[in-house]
Amino acid sequence: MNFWKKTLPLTIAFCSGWLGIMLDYIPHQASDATMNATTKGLTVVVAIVAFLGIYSLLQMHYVKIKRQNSSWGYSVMIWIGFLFMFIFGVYNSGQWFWNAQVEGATAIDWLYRFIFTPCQATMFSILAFFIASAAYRTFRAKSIEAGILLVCAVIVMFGMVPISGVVWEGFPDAAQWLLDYPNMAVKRAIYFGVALGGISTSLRIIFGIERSYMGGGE
Amino acid sequence: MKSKLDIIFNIDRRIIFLFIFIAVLVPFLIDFNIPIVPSKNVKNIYNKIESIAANGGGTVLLSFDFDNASAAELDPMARSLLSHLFMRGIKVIGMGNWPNGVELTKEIFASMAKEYNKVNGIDYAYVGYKSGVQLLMINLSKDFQGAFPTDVRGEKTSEIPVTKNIRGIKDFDYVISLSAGSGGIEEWVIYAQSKYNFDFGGACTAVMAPDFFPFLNAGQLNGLIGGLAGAAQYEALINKPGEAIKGMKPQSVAHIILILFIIFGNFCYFYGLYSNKERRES
Repeated sequence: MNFWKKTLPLTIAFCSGWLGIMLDYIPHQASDATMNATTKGLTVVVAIVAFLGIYSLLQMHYVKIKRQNSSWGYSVMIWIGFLFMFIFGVYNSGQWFWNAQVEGATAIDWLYRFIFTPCQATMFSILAFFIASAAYRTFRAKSIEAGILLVCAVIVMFGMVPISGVVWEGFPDAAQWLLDYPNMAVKRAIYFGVALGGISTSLRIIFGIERSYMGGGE
Repeated sequence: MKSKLDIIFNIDRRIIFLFIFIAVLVPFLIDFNIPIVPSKNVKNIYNKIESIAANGGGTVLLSFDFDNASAAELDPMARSLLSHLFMRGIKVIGMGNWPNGVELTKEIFASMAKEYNKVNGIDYAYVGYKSGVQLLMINLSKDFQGAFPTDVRGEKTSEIPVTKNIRGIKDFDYVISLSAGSGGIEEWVIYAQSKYNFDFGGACTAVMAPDFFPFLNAGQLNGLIGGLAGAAQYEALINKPGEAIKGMKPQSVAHIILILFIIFGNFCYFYGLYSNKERRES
């Protein structure tokens, strides 16, 4: 039992990790061919995993509907939305899903254009209103650091729209300078930190120190 | 009891919403022009495409890594990039890492191809979405036709005139990712550009643009079109005003309103501090 639950997953992680590193750093035909085959196979695995995601999502919302949890009506909408898109996607205007998607005014095209698109656009556009309200309430110069951040934010916010050049031609340049130097330096430091963290976590997984991906209480 | 100043300072958020709504609406109704000055990052992409055209044309890969939520910013970019490429007779291959963007991209290709009399399969091809993002990028960099055996119509990429000579990422003269989040520019740089060292440009939402300056500085990105403002700059460069230039008026006014609110909020904050101090001293 210990072999299936512990030894085998750790061995697979160890071998896969080293295989990935070696394939990336060994410039050889055999290495290239293996890399190609591996990535192609894993792409298929990722597609299969989507089914697991769909099952998990629908199961979770089914339980919510069954128990009539708070806001279970949204769960009903998720089921309806999924079923509509799924049925018309699979039906594919009579050509079924194993053929290329039918072009033109199909049912799935209609659902996409007139339901999905407006919903997504609405969700995204109302952000502007919330950002304005949040900026008014929270963007305060409560300390020197917050004051510097505030001034920089205002310069970048204003410098990025063309009207700033009409007010003073130095605004766009000032905004660009802030993005090119202070912003870039900070972003680079963050990327370095993330990369080092990624490397150390990967090594911990490869050597079996980090085992949380296997589940359980350890 | 609240003083009049307190009421003004704790302004109801619906009033702020109303101001933003008016700031967005009114500029559409009033006719005024704002001069658009292209930035160096936007010009770099334009110049790269011009240089491909000057060298007798070539093939460019456009990766549509966005969906409808960010179409307000990225749709005008996609259209102006395609306009420029089609105007200069450059062949285009489209793909995407975002499944929800497929229908949108198909519509963009269809309308732009119609405008410039371009033929699917000869002047351009759209191979659609495939799962895997990072794995797909590694895979298509070495074996494009293996990664995308068919286009969205089901035609074999090994037989389509525009794709049949494409073996890997190095066969493209330029790659541009139109990105709205994960599975876009950053992944392209990490998993493909840094390994195969091809010319790579980016187009992204305004909120993401600051993330990519380290890549620009390192030369991993040769140019960047950031947000609707970037799209407007590109439209100005190709001299084809579209939705982005139209959108600059409301965006400019909304930014000004937002800045005024921030200034007013800070005035309220400092006035509050000052009056509290006065009260304590008295």
